[in-house]
Amino acid sequence: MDFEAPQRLLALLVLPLLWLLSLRPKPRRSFQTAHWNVWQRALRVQTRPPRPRLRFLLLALAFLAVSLASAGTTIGRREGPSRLIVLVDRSASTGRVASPGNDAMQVLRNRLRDELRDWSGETNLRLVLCGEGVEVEETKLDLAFEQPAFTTLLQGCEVDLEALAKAGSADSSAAIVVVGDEQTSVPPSAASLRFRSSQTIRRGILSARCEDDWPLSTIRVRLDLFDERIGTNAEEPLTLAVQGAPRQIGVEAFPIEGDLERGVELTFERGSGGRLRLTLNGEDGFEADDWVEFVVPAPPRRRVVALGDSEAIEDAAGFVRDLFGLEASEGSVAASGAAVVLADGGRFDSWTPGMLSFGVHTAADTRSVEDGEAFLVDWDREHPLLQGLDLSEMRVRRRLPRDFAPDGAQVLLRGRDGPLLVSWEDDGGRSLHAAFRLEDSNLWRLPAFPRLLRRAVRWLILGQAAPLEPSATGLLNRSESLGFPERRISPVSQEDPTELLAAGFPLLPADPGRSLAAPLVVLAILLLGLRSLWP
Amino acid sequence: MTASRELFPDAFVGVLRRALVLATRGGAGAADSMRHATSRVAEVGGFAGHRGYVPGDDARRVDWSAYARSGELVVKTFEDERGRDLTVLLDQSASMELGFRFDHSRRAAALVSAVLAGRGDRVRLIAQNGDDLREFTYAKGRRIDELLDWLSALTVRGTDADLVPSDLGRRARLIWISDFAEVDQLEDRLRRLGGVRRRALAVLPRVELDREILEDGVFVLQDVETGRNTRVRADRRLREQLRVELRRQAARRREAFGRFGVRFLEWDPPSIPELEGRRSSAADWLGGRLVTTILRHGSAR
Repeated sequence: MDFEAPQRLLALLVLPLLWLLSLRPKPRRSFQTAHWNVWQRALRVQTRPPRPRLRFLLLALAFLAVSLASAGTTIGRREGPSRLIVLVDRSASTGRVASPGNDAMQVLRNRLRDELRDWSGETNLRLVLCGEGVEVEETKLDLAFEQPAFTTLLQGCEVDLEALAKAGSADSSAAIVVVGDEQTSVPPSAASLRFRSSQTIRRGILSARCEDDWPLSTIRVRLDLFDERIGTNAEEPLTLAVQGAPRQIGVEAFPIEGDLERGVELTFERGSGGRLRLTLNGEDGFEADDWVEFVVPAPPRRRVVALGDSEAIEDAAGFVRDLFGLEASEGSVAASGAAVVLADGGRFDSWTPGMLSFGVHTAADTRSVEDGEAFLVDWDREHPLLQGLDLSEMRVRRRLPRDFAPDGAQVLLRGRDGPLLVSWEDDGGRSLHAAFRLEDSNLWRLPAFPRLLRRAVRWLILGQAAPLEPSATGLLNRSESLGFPERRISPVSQEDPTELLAAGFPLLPADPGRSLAAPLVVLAILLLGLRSLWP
Repeated sequence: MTASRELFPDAFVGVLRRALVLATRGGAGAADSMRHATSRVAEVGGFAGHRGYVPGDDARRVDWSAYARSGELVVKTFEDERGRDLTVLLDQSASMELGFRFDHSRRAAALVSAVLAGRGDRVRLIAQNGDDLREFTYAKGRRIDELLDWLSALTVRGTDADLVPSDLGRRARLIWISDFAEVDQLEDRLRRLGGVRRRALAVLPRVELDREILEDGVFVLQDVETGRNTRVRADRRLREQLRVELRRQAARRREAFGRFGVRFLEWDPPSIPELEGRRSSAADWLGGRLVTTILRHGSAR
């Protein structure tokens, strides 16, 4: 029983006054008798006097009925929301298979439709579809379930559903329903439909990395995997299926962190390159993070050009050829198709990708070399090319002017009068340029020179290839893959269907109830009529 | 005199004194003058002597032989008429208060005592309410003021008491002054009186209240003895029913007295103003039905 104006019930405080007023006045006369029994016998013939208590009871009940009617008494009234806001987590994790043959979102939608059966089909509903962004559909309840966007899954959900639900909770006229999985945090004020499974296997590729072993003909793929069994001892070995041109020639597994994560490194013969797809076995209902794909490029060109007539450059070219198995190339740089150009002295029109030059002028630079010893002040010890190398004994007798290098070049060796070795890198490739000729320095005689040369050639060649990064993936998002322990909702078998958690239901709409004003007024009239007829 | 002047005003005391004087002065003559209204005197018992004739004396009691000897009309007196005990039972319950019934009763008791004592009887007055029993013996020679003081000190209280003292003789003479309100208990008391063969006279001083005249309307009816009360809405129908019930009660009362051989007298006492206005003599009082009956009762064997 509810009241629209409960303050009017204060009128009931008048009841004591009514009681006083209903009392019969105390007789002012009294009469003493010695014949009490005679009086009693005489009084028997008299009609029983009215009972003031009963008359007052009728009056009080009538007054109570009027008071209740005035207070707007209703029954069946229910406070609650009048419209709905449904937040749908359309991330990939919600789109797993709920049970064999059933799509999770379909199951969620059907369950939501069932839970909201008490609501009118004309109820205003705001459908908030959360994926990479937020789509808002204002519709009616009947039409909401027909929205195709309702079951369209996206890659992930980048929207903070909990914050969104909390914001929506501020509107007391709206009920918030969050549809998603256990990964979705839901504030207590909102109802929710989420999947959970008591028995599940959770697997996924958390990260993938590929390395080119050039000058070897192999590539290595390293995967971080997640493998967890919840509530089941089902033995299902973790395997990776390989598809593509590169041929797998080796695999090595090693633990990474705890028992759940492990690393796998696979070695492939790249051959002429091609697409490589790695797929984790065992469907866990969340397919998105079960595969990763690479495009393995063809091997780099295998020729090297040596330009210069010094003994040093010839020795260097021979070393490179021997070391990497490259072929010597003749002719101009442009026509040779060489992967690496070793140049010592001379003049070029511009810097060429793959060039390792020593004391080479560009065509626009007409300045000559400068005599005088150029002291090496320091070098970049953190650069991959120079790590662990001891160049402290390097001496340079002559050098190019200090601004020989193009703007933006990274200084690797710094001399007293300017940079001595710079690296250049852009989309077209990489190049290294020294401010001195080899024969004008003792660099080629230092023990560190072969290591430097090997690193430089490798660096130059690998700089020409496309980076070996996953070209396609279902999901390489660690947080999305791991999420909450129960987020991966996958039934192990048909006998273990996924559990759908429903919280905050039944979610009932506001009901104005039925007013009792008219019946109460009628009752009051009847009571007063009965009182008037009472003797 | 220390008696309440309200209860025994001068007019009444004057009547009482005259009655006493008449009863004692001149021996039998004086007494005879008071008893002129007595129509019959029982001649039972031994001869006691002569007294002067007074008008109204039974001619059969005239001693014609003495008249022949002395030439004076005298009547014979007998022993039973003198020096005998008589008990006056005075109801002292609360119901006697209504309508000044108790005042009338005490005046009647005083008058009866004075007359009978003046005649030579010994009057034993017993007043009782509840457990409180008071007794006073009045006889010739005692001051009348003592009698009046004793009567004045009586107060009504409580319910009707068992007014049959245990030390009454089997042939005692009783005068029972009461309102006889509780008819239901009356038969039981009369049975006890009758069981010892006592001769009793029941006197009901009637007051205006016995008619229970009421006006219409609401009032509180209270039992004067128990204090219990109830709200009563009086109307014509109730008054008629009440009269019927009162008549029925009076009939039951008379029937009860008759069945047990107790003479019942409903006495309408004169009011004091009436007494003062008439300047009545003792004969006026004594000529009333009460005294007549009492004297007759007191003389009866």
